[in-house]
Amino acid sequence: MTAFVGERAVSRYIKHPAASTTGILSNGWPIDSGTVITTLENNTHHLQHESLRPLVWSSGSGNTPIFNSAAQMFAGLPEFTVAPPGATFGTHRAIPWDRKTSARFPVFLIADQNIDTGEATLRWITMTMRLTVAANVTSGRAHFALTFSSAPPFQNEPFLHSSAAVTSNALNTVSVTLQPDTPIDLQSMGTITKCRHASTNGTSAQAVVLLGHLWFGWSLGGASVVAASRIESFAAWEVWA
Amino acid sequence: MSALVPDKPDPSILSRVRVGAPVSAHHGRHWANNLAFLLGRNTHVVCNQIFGGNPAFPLGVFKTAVAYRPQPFVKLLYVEVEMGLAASSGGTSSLSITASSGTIHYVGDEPIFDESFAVASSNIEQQNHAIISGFIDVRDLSTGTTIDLIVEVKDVAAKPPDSGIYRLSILEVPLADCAPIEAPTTEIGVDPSWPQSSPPRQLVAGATNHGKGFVRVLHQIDLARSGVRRWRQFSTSEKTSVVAGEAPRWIMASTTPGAEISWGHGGIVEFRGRARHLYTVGGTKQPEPCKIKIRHNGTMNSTLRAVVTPVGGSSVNTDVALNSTGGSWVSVEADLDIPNTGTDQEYTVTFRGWNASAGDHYVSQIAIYTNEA
Repeated sequence: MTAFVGERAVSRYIKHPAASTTGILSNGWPIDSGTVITTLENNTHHLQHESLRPLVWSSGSGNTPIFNSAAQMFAGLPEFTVAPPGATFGTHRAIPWDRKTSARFPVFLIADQNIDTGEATLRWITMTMRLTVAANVTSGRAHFALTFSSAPPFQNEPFLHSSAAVTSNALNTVSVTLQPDTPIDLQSMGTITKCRHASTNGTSAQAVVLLGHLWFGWSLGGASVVAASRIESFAAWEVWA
Repeated sequence: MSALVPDKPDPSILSRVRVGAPVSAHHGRHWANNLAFLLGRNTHVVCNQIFGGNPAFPLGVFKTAVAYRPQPFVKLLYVEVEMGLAASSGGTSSLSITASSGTIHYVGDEPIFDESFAVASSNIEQQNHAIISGFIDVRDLSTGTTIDLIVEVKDVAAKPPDSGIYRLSILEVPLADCAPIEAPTTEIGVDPSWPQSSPPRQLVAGATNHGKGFVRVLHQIDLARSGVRRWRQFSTSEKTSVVAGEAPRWIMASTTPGAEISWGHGGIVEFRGRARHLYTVGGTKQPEPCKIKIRHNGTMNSTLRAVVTPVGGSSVNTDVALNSTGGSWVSVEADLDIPNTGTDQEYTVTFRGWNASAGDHYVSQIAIYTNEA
C-alpha cells in the first residue's frame, strides 16, 4: 500500500445507505467505532486512494521531420544559429522543444503527505507516447519532462526529465513514470490564482496552486527526410509511488 | 468562508479511531480536511489536447466542442490556448467560449474569451509560442447535465489571416476555501470545528443540508464518490472539408465492420490510463462506470466502437450507434465500462468506426467520463 493514503480496513468502497435515509445516524443513537471505521474512515481513505487523475489525452501532431544533425534540428529557431553547446544526446538539452520536437500540456499538480515521514511530494506521473518511425531512421529518442514554467526545458532546468530509446522502425509506444521524490512546499512554490469569481458583488477569492507543465519530446535522426514518421497520440495520468 | 480547503489530504491510520475512545474535534477536522481536499482540491482536467496540423493559411472559423458536466464544487475553469502558426506576421484571431446550454461568465476586466479580444497568432517557428490563458466562471451552469463548451476562433477583419489554435487545455480550478455553515446547499465540506463546537463533544446527526453532523459527513463522502467526473476526451474541428495543414477531420469511411478511423495524421490513436476502482462484488472488481459521448455528422447510419483492454487482459468492445444526422453535428451518449482489472488498474482504449452505406461519417469529439450512480 502506498504511504500517501490513509489506512483502509478493506481495499474497496463499502456501500452504505444514502445519507438522506431516515433512521441512520439518528440523534440519540450510539455511534459505534465500526461505523466510524468502515463507513467514514475507510471510505474517505479509499476515495483518496482512487483520486488519481487522468492528465493528458491527445491526438498526436502527425508527421514529424527526421534530422540528420543537431544543427539541423535547431536551425530556423531565432534563439539559435547553430546547435547550442550542451545539446547532449539523451539529456533535456538534446532537443529544442519546439513544435517540431515536442508538445506541452499544463496541469495543476497535487502533492500528498507521506504518512510515515510527514513530507509532501508530488504524485508520480506516467507519460506515454505512441509514434511510428520510418525505416530510414537510425536513432530515435522520446523525452518526457515536468517543468514549473511554460518555458521549454532547454531554457529552464526541468524539475524532472527522463528519456527512452525508440527502438523499432515501426510503431512504438514509449512510457516512462516521472517519480518526484523531493519534498516540496506547495504553498511556497505555488502561485496565487483566482478560484472564485462573484460578478454580483464584485468579490473574488484566490487559491495557491502549482501549475506544472508536462512535456512530450522526440528526436528522430537519419540520413534523409521522409514523411512516414509521425506522432500518433499522447497520454498521461497519476500513479502512486 | 468558514473552512480552508487543504492542498494535501490528511492521511491517518485506523488505530486512531479506537473502540472506547471518544469522538473528538480531531475526527471532525480529519473528515472535513479530507472531504474538502477530495471535492475542492483534487480537481480534474477537462481536456488537454493538441489538434495536429500546423495551419499556415487563412483559416476562417475554427470550432470545436469540449464535453463538460458542471459540478457544484467547481466555480472556475482555467483555459489555456496555444495559438497556431500564421502564414505572415500580424495574424490575429478572436476567441470565444460559450456553453451549449446555460450561461458562462467571463472573468476579468478585459475578458479574452468573449470574442472581443484580439489575439495574436504565433508568427514564427520558435520555442515560445503565443499562449492565451484565463478563466471562465461556470458556477451558474446547471449541474447534472452534460453540455458542450463551444470553442471558436475567428479571423479578425482588417488583420492578416489567423491560424487557428494548436492546443487547448481546460482545467478545473481548485478552491481555497468553502462555506459549509453559511451555504451548505451550494458549498462543499463539513464544519471543521465539529464535533468540538458548542456544546463541546456534542455528537449530532445533522442533515445533508446542514454544515455539520454525521449525516453531513456521509453526504459529502457520497458526493466525493458519485459527483466527481474523470474526463478522458479529445476533439477536433467541426468541419466536413479542410485544406492541407488544417486541424484534421476524423472520418469513418469504410463499410467494413471494425475498420480503423482516419484521424487525419495517418496513424492510429491509442490512449492509456488508470481506471478507478470502488466496488468489489463476490471477489470481482467492478469496472468504472462511464459514459461515452460522441459528436458526429453523417448522412448514413454508422457504428463507432470503443475497444477497451485492461493491461494484461482481454479487450471489451462497446458499440455506439451513430444514426444519420442529416448533415448537422449531433451528440450521442452511451454507457461504457472501463475495467480496472489490468496491471496497476491500467487499460488502453482505441476506437474503430464503419458505415452502413458508402460515404463519409465525421466525428469531432470522443469523451469518456465517470458516471457513478
